[in-house]
Amino acid sequence: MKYRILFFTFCICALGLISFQFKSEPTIIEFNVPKKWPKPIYSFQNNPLTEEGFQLGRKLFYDPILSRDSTISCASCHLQYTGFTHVDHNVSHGIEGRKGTRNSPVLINLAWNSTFHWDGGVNHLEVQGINPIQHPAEMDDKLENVLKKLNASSVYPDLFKKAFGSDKITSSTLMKALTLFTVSLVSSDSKYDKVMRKEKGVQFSEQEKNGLKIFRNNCAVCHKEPLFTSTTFASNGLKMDSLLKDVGRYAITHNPTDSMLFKIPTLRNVEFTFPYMHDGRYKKLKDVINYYSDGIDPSVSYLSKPLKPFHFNDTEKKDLLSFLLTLTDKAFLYNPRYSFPK
Amino acid sequence: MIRKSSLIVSFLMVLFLGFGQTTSLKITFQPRISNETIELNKVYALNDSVQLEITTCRFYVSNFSFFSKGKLLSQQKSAFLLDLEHPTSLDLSFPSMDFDGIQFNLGVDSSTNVAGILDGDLDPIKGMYWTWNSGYINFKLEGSITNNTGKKIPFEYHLGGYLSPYPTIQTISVETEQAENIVIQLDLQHFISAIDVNSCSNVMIPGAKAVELSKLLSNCFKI
Repeated sequence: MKYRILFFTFCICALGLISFQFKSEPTIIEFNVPKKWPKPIYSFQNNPLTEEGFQLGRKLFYDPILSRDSTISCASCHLQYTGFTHVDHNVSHGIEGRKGTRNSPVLINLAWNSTFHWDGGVNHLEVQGINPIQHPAEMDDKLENVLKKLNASSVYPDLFKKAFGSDKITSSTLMKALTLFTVSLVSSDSKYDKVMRKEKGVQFSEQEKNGLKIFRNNCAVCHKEPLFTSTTFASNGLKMDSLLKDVGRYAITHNPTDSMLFKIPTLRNVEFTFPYMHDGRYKKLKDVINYYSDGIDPSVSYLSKPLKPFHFNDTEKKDLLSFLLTLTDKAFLYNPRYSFPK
Repeated sequence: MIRKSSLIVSFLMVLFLGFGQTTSLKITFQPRISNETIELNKVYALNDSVQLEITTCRFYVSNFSFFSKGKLLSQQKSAFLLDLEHPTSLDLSFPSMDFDGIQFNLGVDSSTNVAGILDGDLDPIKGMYWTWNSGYINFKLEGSITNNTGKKIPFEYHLGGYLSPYPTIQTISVETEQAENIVIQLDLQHFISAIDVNSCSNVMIPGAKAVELSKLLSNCFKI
């Protein structure tokens, strides 16, 4: 009798242990903030960074299931090798080749941003992804429908259970998973970073050094180091495209002083993120430098205050360009952790 | 021994259930037209010449505070989506207490608007969230009015926006003599009659007009 009780107790304990192991918690991973960088805006408080969550977000990012006809994934307009933007297209095209009205922004160091989109209309990284899913010129689906597709899939419920503890996929877990991937896209390993960290054997050339000086004297107010953006809004005086008629930040705030203001983009990996400006009107970095040098019309009423034509000479232009190329981060652009999951 | 412990358990259960029963205060919201509770898709005569039909009426109430003689008794920081299409959503439950005043928000507060993705009544799939200009639609009213010439004018009022200078959230205070089964009426006849639907049939973005209509709405609640 006694032994029987002992045996039963043993069985129950063993079963408990097995079920405990099956119900394993997701693996917490650390979000590494590069040295001397500001504190990230995204807090992870309600969405802890886990390996399972990151991998799930990565899978979703590359999966066209998020679009109405399963043709477009996030990666269609945000390609890793070009800093997660849509290279070669002035404005991005989505489902059925429909065109949007703006150049797709890069997805770099998003953890340090409090607003998203060129007009800053989106106030939190977790809700950003709903926009491309529902935009008629992007993925043209409905969030409810995407949830239905994911819940009916043979793989996703299990992956969500591993990452978030429940196999019922909701808006919340979908958007949190996507966020865990996009928030992890940190670029901090360019030549510029290595020089700043005083890494052995890495030095700026004379030309790059001069370029940095020019950059700091003229560009760094808006394209503030180390993010190379102040993450605020400004107008560089570009005239409105007569077809797109984009008023920028004004469309969000209806504040007249926000007219024609756009979010200042980061310059990290700028070598590969062409074309440039909110409407992608410049194909080459050289065109952008020429615009800031000689193209700005100082009489434009909405031009942001410190801006003026900088009148760089040819050497200065070349120096500046060579500095900008030091912001290329191959470790980021070719990081296998960010690429299409095999 | 066994009998004693089961007695204790039963006693605790009775105690628990007993408390469960006494801790319920019911607050019901009643959107009304001419002293009638509104039914969707039903035609109401606003006056001799104008008829009104409502097809959607959906709004958030949040952050309920209960007062007694001006003193705060209890506060609950949560938001509820009330939707005429789901009549049970109009009934809210709170712990009962001895109060004589209620204060609540019409709409969702700014901290909730910037909190990222949320569940339940605040899930974006509820159709009360703007994605391109992040923020909740506090109040949604859709329908039409028909004037005596037979002309039908559809209207859509999506009132929201939390950013300065156009925050649309409204604080509403009501006084009451009883502290149970409260009915808070929302007089939409008063609201619609105060709008020139002909010249303002659509409000779909944050801004001055959304603020103006939200203020107008805040005067339409009464017990």
